[in-house]
Amino acid sequence: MLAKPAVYLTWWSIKMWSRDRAAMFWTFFLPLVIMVIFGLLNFGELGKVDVGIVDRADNEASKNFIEGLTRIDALRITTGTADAERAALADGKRDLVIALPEDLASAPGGSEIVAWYHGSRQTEARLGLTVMQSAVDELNFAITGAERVVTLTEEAVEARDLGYIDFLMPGVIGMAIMQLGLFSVAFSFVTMKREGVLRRLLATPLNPTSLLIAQVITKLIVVVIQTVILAAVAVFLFGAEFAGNFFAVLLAAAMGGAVFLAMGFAVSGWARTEQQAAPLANIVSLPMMFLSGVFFSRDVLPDILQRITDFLPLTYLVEAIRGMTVEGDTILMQWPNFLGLAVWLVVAFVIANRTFRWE
Amino acid sequence: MPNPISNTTKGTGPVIVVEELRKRYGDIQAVDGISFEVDRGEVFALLGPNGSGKTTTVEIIEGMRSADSGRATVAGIDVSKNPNAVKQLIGVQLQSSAFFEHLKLAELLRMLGSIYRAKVDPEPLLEAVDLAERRSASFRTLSGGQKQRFAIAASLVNDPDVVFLDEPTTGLDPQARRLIWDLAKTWKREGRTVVLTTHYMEEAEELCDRVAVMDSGKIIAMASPAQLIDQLIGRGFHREQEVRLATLEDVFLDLTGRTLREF
Ligand SMILES: Nc1ncnc2c1ncn2[C@@H]1O[C@H](COP(=O)(O)OP(=O)(O)OP(=O)(O)O)[C@@H](O)[C@H]1O
Ligand SMILES: [Mg+2]
Repeated sequence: MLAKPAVYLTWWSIKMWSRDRAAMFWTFFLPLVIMVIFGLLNFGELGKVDVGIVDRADNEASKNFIEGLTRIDALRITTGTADAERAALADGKRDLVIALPEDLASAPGGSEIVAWYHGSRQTEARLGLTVMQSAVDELNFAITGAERVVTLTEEAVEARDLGYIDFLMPGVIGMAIMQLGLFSVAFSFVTMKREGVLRRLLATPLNPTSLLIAQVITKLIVVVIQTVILAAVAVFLFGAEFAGNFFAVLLAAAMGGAVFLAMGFAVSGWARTEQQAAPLANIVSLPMMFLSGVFFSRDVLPDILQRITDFLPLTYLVEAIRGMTVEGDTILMQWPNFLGLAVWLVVAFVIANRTFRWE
Repeated sequence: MPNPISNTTKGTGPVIVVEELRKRYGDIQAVDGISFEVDRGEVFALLGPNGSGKTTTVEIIEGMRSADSGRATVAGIDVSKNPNAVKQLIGVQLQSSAFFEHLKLAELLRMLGSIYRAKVDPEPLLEAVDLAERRSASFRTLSGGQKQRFAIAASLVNDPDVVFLDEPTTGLDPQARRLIWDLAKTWKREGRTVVLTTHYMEEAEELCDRVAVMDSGKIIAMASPAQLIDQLIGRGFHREQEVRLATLEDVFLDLTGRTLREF
C-alpha cells in the first residue's frame, strides 16, 4: 500500500507535468508528427516485393530458377511449404507466392507454375509477376531454346491488406515510450539534482522511494495517454489495424515504460549535468530507434545485426505491441517479448539502484 | 503508543545535544570534535569564517549528512539512528535552496506540507515573509532575496519545534533582514528553538541568547554576546571610539522606508 505522502506527491507531480510545455511537445506532439509524416509518405511502398516459393520439384532446374530469383534486387525470396507460404500470403506477409510443380522442366507436355498474389496489393503483385514472367521466359529459353514448356498462371488471393501504417504504429508507440522514459527522467532528475531541489527534499522526512514511486506512476500514466493518442490517430486517421486486446497493448506499453524509466534513472544517476545526460540518453536511444524495427523491418539488416538487435529492449517492446495489434496475439502468445522486457527491467533497475544519487 | 518526541520537547533542558562531532572531507577536517547543547526556546548562532564548518555541523544535526564520529541528538532522538523522526520535528532553511519547477509558491508550501502529513494554509506563511502577493509566482522567477525569504517560509510548513537557518539574511536588503529578525523573535516567543549561522555580527548580537564561534572545525568560544564582549574588554581591548550619530544603514532605511518595500 502506498504511504500517504506518496499519493500526494503523485498528485503534485502530475500537476507539475501537466504544466510542462516542453514535456508536452516531446511526448505528444513530436511522435504524432513523426507518425503522420511517415504515415503519409508511406515508406512501406518503397520496400521489396515479398515472394514466397514452394519448391515441389526440388531438382536442379528448380534450384537454378530460385537461385536466379534471389539475385534480383527487387525481390525478397522466402521458401517454405505450400501451407506455410499460403498462410503467410493470407496474413499479408507475402505479396506473391509461387509454386514450382514437381515436374518442372521435365514434363513432356510442359508444366505450369502457379502464382498466387495478394489481391489488394496490386503494385507489389504486378511488379512481382512481371519479374516472375521474365524469369519463366528465361527458364523456357534455357530448357528448349524457344518453345514454351513452362507457363505461369496467376491467381489473385483474398488476403489481409496490411499497410505500412500497421507496421509503423507499434513502432512509433514503442519509440515514443522509449523517449519519454529515457529523457523525461534523465533530464528532470538531473535538473532537480543540479539545482538542489532533491537536496531540499532530503531535509524533509520524505522517503526517497515515495518520490520515485510518484515519478514512475506519473510517467506511466503519461505512457498510457500517449499510447492511446498515437493508436487513436493511427487507427481513425490512417485506418491502422488494431487486432489485439487494447488493455494487453497498454500493459506492454506500461511494461516498456517501466524499463525505459529505470534506464532514465540510471542515466540521471550517473550524470551530474544535463550536458552529460543528453549524449548518454542519445547513445542509448538512437541505435534502438533505427535498429529495433521502428520505421523499417529488421529484415533489411545484415544477419548478424538482426541476431544482436533481437535482444534490444525496444525490439521486445515494439514486437510485442506489433504482435498484438497486427496479429491479434494475446499476452501469453507474446511471452518471449514480455520475458525480454522483464529481464531488461531487472537489469535496468539494478543499474539505476547502483548509480542513483540525490546530490 | 505514547509519543516520545513530544515528551522530550515539552520538557526543559537541552533540545539539541552535540557530542564530539567529527567530519572529514579528504584532507579537510571540516568538523573537528565539537560539542555543544542548545536549550529549548533558545536562539543559538554558529559564527565563523568561510569554510569553518558551520554548514557541515548544522547539516549533520539536520540528518542531511552523516558524521564520521560523535553524536547529535534532537529532542533526545539520535539523528544518525532515526533521521526521519528528527526531520519531522525540525524546519530547515539551507544555505542554498531550490524547489520544484511548475508549481506556484502557495502550491509548493502545500506540497511540502503533505510530506509531513500536515495540511498547510500557505497564506500566513507567505505573509510572514511578505510574499503574499507572489503566491502564484514560480520560485525561479523570484529575486535572490525573495527566494531566500520563501525558503524561510518553507522551513515552517511543519510547525517545527526547532528551526535551522543557514545564513538566512545573506543577500537580503536591510528591511527584509529586519523582517527575518522579527520573525525569529516571534518564533522564540512561541517557544521554538532557533539555530542559525550568520556572518553579520549585529544580527547575532540582536537575536541570539548564545553564540558559538567556530574556526577550522573547532568551537573556539561559546557564550552570550554580552559575555563575549565583556571577556574581550576584560582582555584589555578597547576600540577607537568614534561617536557617530547615524550610520549608512540608517540613511538607507530612512530613504527607502522602514517597512518592507512594495515590489
Ligand atoms: N561535500 C563536501 N565535499 C568536500 N568538502 C566539503 C564538503 N562540504 C564542505 N566541505 C569542506 O568542509 C569545510 C567546511 O565547509 P562548511 O560548508 O561547513 O563551511 P561554512 O562554515 O558553512 O562556510 P561558509 O561560511 O562559507 O558557508 C570547507 O573547507 C569545505 O570546503
Ligand atoms: Mg555555510
